[in-house]
Amino acid sequence: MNILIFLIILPVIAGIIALIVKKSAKILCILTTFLTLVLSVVIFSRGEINFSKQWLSYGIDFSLRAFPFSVICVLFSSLIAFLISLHLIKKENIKIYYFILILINLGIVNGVFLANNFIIFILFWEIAAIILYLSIRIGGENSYITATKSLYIIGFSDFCLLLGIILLWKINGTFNMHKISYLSPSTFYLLPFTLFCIGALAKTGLMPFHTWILDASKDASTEVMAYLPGAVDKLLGIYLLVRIFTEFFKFSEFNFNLSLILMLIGTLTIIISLMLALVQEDLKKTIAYMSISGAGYMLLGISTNTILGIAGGIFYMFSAILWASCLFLCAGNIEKQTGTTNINELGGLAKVMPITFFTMLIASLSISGIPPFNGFFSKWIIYQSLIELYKNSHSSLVILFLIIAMFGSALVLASSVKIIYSTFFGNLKEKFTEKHLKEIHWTMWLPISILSLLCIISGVFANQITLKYLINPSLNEQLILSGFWQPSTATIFIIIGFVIGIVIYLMQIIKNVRKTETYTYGEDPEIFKDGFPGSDFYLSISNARPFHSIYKRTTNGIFDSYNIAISSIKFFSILVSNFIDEYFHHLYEIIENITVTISKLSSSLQGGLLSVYIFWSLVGFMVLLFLLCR
Amino acid sequence: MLIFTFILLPIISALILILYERINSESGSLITFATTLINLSLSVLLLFILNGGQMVYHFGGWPAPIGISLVLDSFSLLMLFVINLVSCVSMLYSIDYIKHYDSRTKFFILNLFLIAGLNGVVLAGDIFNLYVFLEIIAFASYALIAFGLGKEDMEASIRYQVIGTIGSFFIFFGIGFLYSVTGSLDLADISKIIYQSASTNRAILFAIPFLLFGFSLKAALVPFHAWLPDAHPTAPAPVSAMLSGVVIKVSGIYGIVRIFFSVTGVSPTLLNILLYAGFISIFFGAFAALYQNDFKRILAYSSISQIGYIMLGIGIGTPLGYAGALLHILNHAAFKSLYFMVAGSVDYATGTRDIRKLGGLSKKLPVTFLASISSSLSLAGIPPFGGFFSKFIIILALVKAGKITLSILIILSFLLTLAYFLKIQGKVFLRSQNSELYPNIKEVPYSMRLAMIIMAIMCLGLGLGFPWVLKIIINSAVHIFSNGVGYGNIISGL
Repeated sequence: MNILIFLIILPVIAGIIALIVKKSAKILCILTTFLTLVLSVVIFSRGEINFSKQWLSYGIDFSLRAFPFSVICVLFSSLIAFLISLHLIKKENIKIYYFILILINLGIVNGVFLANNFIIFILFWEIAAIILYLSIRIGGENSYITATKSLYIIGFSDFCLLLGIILLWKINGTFNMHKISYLSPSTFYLLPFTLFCIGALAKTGLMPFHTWILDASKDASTEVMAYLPGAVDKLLGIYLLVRIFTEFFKFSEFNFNLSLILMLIGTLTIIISLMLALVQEDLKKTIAYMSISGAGYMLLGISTNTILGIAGGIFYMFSAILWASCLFLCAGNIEKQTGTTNINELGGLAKVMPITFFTMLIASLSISGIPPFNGFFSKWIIYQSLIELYKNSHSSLVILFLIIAMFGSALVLASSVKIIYSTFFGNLKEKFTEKHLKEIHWTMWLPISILSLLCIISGVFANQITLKYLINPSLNEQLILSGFWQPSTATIFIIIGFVIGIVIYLMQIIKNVRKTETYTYGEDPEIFKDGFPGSDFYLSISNARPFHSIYKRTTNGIFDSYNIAISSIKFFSILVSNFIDEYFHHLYEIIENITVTISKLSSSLQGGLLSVYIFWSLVGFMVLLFLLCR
Repeated sequence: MLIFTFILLPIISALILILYERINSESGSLITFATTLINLSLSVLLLFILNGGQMVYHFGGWPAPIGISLVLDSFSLLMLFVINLVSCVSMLYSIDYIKHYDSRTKFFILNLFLIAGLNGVVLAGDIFNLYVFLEIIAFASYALIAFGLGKEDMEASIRYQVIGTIGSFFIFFGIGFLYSVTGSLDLADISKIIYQSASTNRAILFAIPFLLFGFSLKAALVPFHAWLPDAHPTAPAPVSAMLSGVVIKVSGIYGIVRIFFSVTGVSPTLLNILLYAGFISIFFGAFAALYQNDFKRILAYSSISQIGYIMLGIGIGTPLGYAGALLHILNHAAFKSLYFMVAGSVDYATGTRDIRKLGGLSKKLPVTFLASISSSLSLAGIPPFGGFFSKFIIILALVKAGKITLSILIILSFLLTLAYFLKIQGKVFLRSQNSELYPNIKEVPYSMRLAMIIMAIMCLGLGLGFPWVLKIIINSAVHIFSNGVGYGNIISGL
């Protein structure tokens, strides 16, 4: 038995055992996810491993292939699964199905990463979609609508992907994923490329397909959000996207316009999701929007189709998984302690939950791209790739995208300032002061601490660790970065700066401190008696002229591609069932009325509908007669 | 003699039941179930011993063109397996289900005749007996559809009778044309005569649309579908399972394949007609299903849609297409009969089939819910359930045949399938607002549960064991299609 099969089979079997023996689920989940993590590290150290077994005819073999990028993805999915099961283990009233789904999902997702045959790949990919449906489904009472919607969107994209695979097979004549890279640019490739991209974009949650993540953030539990849309689905989507660009459709002369379209989607995702993140009043929803914007950066980087851009995209993906899971889990902790995620009801939690505060602060700083955290470094690579692309193509659109992406960075900072301020600063609300809130159990803060620690390490030691061990092996190439940025050196300077500041503060060198009234934006101080709610931070933006109507429409769901699709399908089904059938019925009723006057017998025998049936059947017969006996 | 058992045994059981009913009007279910179980085990046995060969039984020892013969080849065997599987499971299901009807023994007698007719059609070696068995199927199902004796049942049954009789009449006409040209009724003999004659007779060309019309009417292809949405929902649930799972396939698709592929030979026009009629059926059925509110009516429209996939697969005209179509016959029999059983269970437990009045049954009927999940996933074509593989192979065949636009549209049709199955799932089982509507319902009786579990495992097993299914059952049956009119030469020597 090959070692790769264990990565798939072990969690699935553990999940099935947990399903039968429900008491063992928790401990089994921790052990198996940890074992998978260890196993993936072992495989990572071994380099490329191939495994193939004859399965079906028609060129469908059960073949697996472990190469650095896929193994790193496996590593990350196992890591996140482990941390989340750790997070869940001491939570009260937790449904045992979470553990089972985490286990089975881990096995299936590993299958996606390791598959080396498109059919195996799509099999695992679709099962992962079903698990997503089930995971959202167990969230709460109303989660079924959300889950169904997600399944529609993901299901649609999966069908597109399936068709793309079949077209690619038609062009190449092979289902082997590794052999497919010799595609020449002259081949008819635009359709499969688009279909593949739809599959990847929907999974990652990019702009036209992003709505399922938002709805899920409302109904699904925070753990599911942290695990699936926050981490695993991003890994899956970006994994596919990177392979599309580096292997399946690797052309010497890549169509630059295609790049531009994808970059446009990425940029739009960034700007729209962040503009919306500014005005949300729910912690989970804000984080969901921020995580969608992250996907926009990844797409922007990867679709430049340069080594630098793809590296930036991958780096950003790994960073985004760390901070998005961290933020969602922090939101989960806050929800558990206070019972709400509405930011207007929160505040002043920094004193009672210091660990959650610090981890969330670090994650927010990372996501905002503050040096020296990983967010800065990965965005920096993406910006560099855009500049390089501009140098080569002289397309002013690229510069526009760059500016918007940079502006997006500022918006992320604005959103994270909002959530940090409104949850942790200000005064503790009255209803919480009586409840004696305290820091949560260690099993729940340990995972977020590990995640935030990883955020720091992967940022500060970006050159020494992240690039060397994660990015360069993934791309099988050595990155050449222009510009000068040494994160470790910079960190030292930053720390020195902090130390000097503290020294100044402690020595109280500045003696003459001026004391004044609190500045209240020129408003009546009475308004701010109860504190300034974080949701009002950017009210002026949403009330401003051009934005106001857009924001209003977004809340009504006008940009929701799902709603549009559903209403058009409804329209068609009504058209077919109602209009066409009814119309012919009416038409026939006229003929029938004439018939009735001639012979009352036929209508008194049977309501009349039967004659319609026979009429149509005979018309069909005439057509057959015409076609076959011409 | 072995293959004659398939027809003889149900008829003998039925005759015993007719006599036995005078003594004890209650029993009958076990005898029927035992009969179907024997038939099922025999067909499974044949799956392993036939091995792509043929088996012929001559009545009274008279050789073929003069005497009457029964012929079993791999395609008949596939159909035989499907028939006996579905009939066995649905008879198991009826043991408890039928308890809220009167004159139960008559139900089983009719079912036994239905099964005898179904087995007879796929085994008949001559075209006239094929017609006779078709009529046995038709009359048994007329009576079974009207079994509830309600106004609705009677109306649906009479409609089905009128349309079914028209279909039979046209088939009979077609047979008459064939006989007038060839002077023989034996399928293999007709095939040989047509194959050997230098030029195609115009009368045969004229017979083809008659036969095609008759069989399409029985297979409920659009625009000949109109009887099906009335007939299938009104019948008792196990009968609906038989009708949708088996009867339309045997009396429609089997007839088309046997007559056109093996006897008269197919022209490209005929294949195209099948292809596009299948295509229209897929979309018509799916759109119409989306609009219905009666649980079983949704399933009936869905049957039209799924029969469309089978026709499409056959119409592609390549071995891969045939394989997909045959696999879909098997899968559709499994998941659609299961789904009708689920609908029957919901009806049994709550007394309504209107999905607007149902909701939140997933907790109250856990076995039924699991069974519905299994059949839905297979219906929607989600791996690793069986439905995925058959639809996937059909798509592969379409692409390989160069019909890219068609394959894109077919993939879109999967989404419609997904939509109506989610509609059922959502409204019947998952919606929780209505969970207080039925406070006192219980899970359905034992035999119904067992039947649903067996079929649910079958749905999954057909997917997981897909390579073996392909190897044992499908591949040899595909040869019957590819051999075409070579059928005559193979059979008449035996």
